[in-house]
Amino acid sequence: MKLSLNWLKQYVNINTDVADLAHNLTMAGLEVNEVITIGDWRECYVGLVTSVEKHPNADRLSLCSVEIDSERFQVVCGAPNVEAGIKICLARPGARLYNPRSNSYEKLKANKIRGVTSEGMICSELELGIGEDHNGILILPAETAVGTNIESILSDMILDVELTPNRVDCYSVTGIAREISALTGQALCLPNLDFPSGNTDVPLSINIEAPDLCPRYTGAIIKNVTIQESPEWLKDRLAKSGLNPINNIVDITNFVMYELNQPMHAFDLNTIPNGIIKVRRAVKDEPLTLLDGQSLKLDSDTLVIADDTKPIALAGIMGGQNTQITSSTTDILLEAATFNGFNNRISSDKYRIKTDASLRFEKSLSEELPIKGLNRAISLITDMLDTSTLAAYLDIDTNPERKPLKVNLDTDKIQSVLGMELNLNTCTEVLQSLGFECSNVTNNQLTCTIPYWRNDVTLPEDLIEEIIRIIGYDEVPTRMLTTEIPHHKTDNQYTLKESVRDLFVASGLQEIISYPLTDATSLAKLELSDILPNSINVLNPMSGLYTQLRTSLRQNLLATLQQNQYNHEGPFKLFELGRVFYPSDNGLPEEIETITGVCAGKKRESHWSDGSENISFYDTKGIIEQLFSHLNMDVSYVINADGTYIPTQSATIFYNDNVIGTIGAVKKSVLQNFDIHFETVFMFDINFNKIIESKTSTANKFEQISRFPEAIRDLALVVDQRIASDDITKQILTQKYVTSVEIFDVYVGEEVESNKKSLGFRIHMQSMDDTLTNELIIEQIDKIMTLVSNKFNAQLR
Amino acid sequence: MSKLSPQTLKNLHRDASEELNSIDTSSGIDDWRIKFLGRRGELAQLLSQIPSLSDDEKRAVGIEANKTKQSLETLLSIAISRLDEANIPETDHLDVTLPGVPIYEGKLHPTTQVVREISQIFLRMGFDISEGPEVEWDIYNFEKLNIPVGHPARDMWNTLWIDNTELNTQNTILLRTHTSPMQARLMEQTSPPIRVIVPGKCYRYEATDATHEWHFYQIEGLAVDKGINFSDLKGTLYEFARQMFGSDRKVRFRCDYFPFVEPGVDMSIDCFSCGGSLVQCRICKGTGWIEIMGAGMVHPKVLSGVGYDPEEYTGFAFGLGPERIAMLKYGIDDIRHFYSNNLKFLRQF
Repeated sequence: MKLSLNWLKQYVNINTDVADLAHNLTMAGLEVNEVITIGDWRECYVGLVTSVEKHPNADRLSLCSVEIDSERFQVVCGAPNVEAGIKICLARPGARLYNPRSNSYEKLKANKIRGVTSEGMICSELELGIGEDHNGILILPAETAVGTNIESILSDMILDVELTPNRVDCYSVTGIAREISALTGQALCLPNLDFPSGNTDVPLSINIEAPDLCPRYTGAIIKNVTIQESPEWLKDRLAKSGLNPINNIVDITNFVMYELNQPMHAFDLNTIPNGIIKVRRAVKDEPLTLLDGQSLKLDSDTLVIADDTKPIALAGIMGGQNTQITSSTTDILLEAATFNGFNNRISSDKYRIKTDASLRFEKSLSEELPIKGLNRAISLITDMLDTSTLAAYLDIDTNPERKPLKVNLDTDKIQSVLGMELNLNTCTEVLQSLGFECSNVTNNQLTCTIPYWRNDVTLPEDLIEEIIRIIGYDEVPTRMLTTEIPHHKTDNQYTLKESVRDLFVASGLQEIISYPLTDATSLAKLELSDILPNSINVLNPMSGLYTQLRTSLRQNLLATLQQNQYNHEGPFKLFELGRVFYPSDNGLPEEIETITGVCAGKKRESHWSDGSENISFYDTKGIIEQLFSHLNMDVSYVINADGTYIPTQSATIFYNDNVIGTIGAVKKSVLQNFDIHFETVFMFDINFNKIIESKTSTANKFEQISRFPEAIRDLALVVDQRIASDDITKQILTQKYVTSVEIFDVYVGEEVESNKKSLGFRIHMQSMDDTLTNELIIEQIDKIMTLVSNKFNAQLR
Repeated sequence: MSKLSPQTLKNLHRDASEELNSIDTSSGIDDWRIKFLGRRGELAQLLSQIPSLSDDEKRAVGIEANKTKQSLETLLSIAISRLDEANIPETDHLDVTLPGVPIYEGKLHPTTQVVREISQIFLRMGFDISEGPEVEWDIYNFEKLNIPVGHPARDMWNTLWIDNTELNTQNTILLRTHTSPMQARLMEQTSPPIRVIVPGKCYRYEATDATHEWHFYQIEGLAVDKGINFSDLKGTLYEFARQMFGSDRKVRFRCDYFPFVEPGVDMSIDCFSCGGSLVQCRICKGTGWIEIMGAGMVHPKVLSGVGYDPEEYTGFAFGLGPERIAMLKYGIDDIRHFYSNNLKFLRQF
């Protein structure tokens, strides 16, 4: 909220530096975002125009004589509203004024205009930088003292205060003035809010038909008003708070709202038949056209202000067009009421209308407030317009018995919340400065009566915050936690995820993090529609790109590759560990931690020695083999993964007969879908939740180390191209004494038949009990040969 | 020929080593070896006088003769290797300034790095790490945090709502707007003492700009037990700030509002960029302070809502944004860099 410092000064004396004030307010919970200074008018003085004559050489200009402190200056002026006897602002050479033509502030110089010397300039609002008006010069009030520096009259500061939704009382100037009063010790001085006198003889009938939504409604009729522009002081107050002045009556209602926090509305009385007002729920589909021209069809939960037959205002949100104040309005009905905050918020959300009134009502205003606002508005209007008279005044309160809330506070509570002792007399002083009443104050306890404007305070903890925010949090002692450290139940999943991130980074992969929302088009590009589950949609997406929760990470990785392919040299080795979201039967979606990576382009950064080699399937597989080895998981790979991959260059990864992921070369069509220029892109996609589920023990078990030498034999076997080497390895491993098998060579070419490959197996054999004899080794190798030739039709090369 | 004596041996040693120093060819070295150490070399000739010496003289000369011989042989081998090193063929010379074969280093996303750095500090203070769902019930995101339906404070979190038709439920589901729902979940799952931090993704329905993202991380903290009070909050967060930003940073707490804490504060550190002296400071905007996190004592209604007796247990909670801390740490001027996945950004950290 923006408000003028001069306005605040109306209610509380401010003699501290504004920067200090802003700091103190910020520390106490009202964050001052900005302090805007209006001013810097050196060489600008209040002048009296003593004579106005025509400029000898220009029809539209006049030659004025302006008096300042018995000195007279000759000034050329082009404004139509200059006349003898008015008081104006005269800028003398050296003043800094706004020049609308250059859109900047410029230093004024003495000048000849059309042959006549002008010893200064009579300023408009625009030139002074205090308003938009440039049609005429600014005319100062007649009582202004001639010769005064304009700075002392016009200068002001605007505080831009960030309000929190709990402190609805601070949505008003007096609310903030009360804070300042508590912080500085200066007395708070509120305007007179007593009932103004008048003959209340005009018929006015107010029926609250929905007391649950409107506990109190007050109204007054003022006759013989003249609708006109508001006086300068009023326009100034509103403009500095960012409100557009409209007319004197509407401006008064806004002024009272900003001053006291009570939103008000003024109806044209003559549009309300017989002065009958009903506060009721709307009938379903009842129409109402609002002040801003918007036409609504109401529903039956909506509270309206109605005349005898039809709605005339959306209660607590906006008035209707049919009863609005116009230039010909002579009699008005003023409304100040309390509306249910919850219902008000539901309605303003439903019709998507947020107004200054609804922003306050939705936070639940006190029933004590309407009568104060009404009294204030009546005084202001009748003071401003001599002819106007109060003609009716009605206060309908559905619950006049309501009592203020009382909250007890004791020193034990203060100790348990703040960890410090506070003297209850000090507490009482602070609370009283904020308008709380304290009674029954003893050494260790007090009773606090909560003022009507502080509906946010209901608990002793709230009172403690009130006290400490004024005293300052610096006063609270600082100590380290002394309580018992909880037993750590290490989150296995978190630890495991972080270790995998480290592992991948160590393998030369770059981590990315992408948005978990995507759209149907991106997912369709993966050509996976047969296996991806239905997506879960966002009800209010911000953009067409983010309409649903992702069911895969692949599109994010491929899009990232696409986006970087021309801007970066690579190598492109990327991974993400994040969640995908599947529908589930128990409400919240299943959130599956997934680890997905892409590899493309050169194996390593270019180097003078080589670096031309591209990343291969086996480079990519090496990365995830390291992962499974790290996790101590023995997985198997079965050719052909899913729709994203080339069938003959991809594999499904199994662990204990469960599918836990895929790896392979991405299909050309998918690469085209993503506009990726690389010939070959490898991808892996692993369901991390399945890893977590299937992992039983994390600790490796120690195995005895044989004291006897190891025998190593190489076997080159020729088998069909389609036979999986891993199947052969597994068979060999079943044989006695075989401790490990590695493949040291793969050959396809002239020396073997077509459709055949030669695989070189290096077989390690060892016994725990003996040195293996050559005979025994030969016997074992023969057994292995028989086995593989039976099983795989393998032949020794 | 001079007479054999310890002194003449010393002279010989002196002459020989001087001569050797000036030799820079292998043939020269050969000549030198023959001249001094050869069978008819100078040393041998001198020593041939031994038979003519008295026993005492023999003893004195013998020690010196051995020393001289050993020393000259050592000098010879040094001279030979000096020459060898000097005569390496040109092709064997490495250009040691050529770049080595690059090892491509993978890097963690800067958010991951900062989340870890922050987490480590709290782990050292006895906090544990937990995670929670990103798609959350309205009840946990709002209601159990003292923000019922229709509460004006809901405006503090613009929410992305989830269509629950695929999810077999009538209850309201949303993308969590903060990590705070885990406060209620953790308290329901366990009993005090609790000390835990919750890192994770959060979402807001928000237009993006240099300081706002609709998708971001938060780290929630919660400590609940008997006897925990605001001074513990101050101590813990001071210690965090000291370890994260260094001990010369000033820390301040000011009143702020979050419905699930009372009293509520935000913690700021003094601006390390301008020290509060620069009105146009891009980082603190002239206030001299940088907001780091929101915190407060867990609201009694939140405690009673999860079945804790607020008269028995108290606690504090806090929440901070790792991207904001990463921006301060690395001088990143626009939060939109984080999840755009431009490698030129990611590779910098």
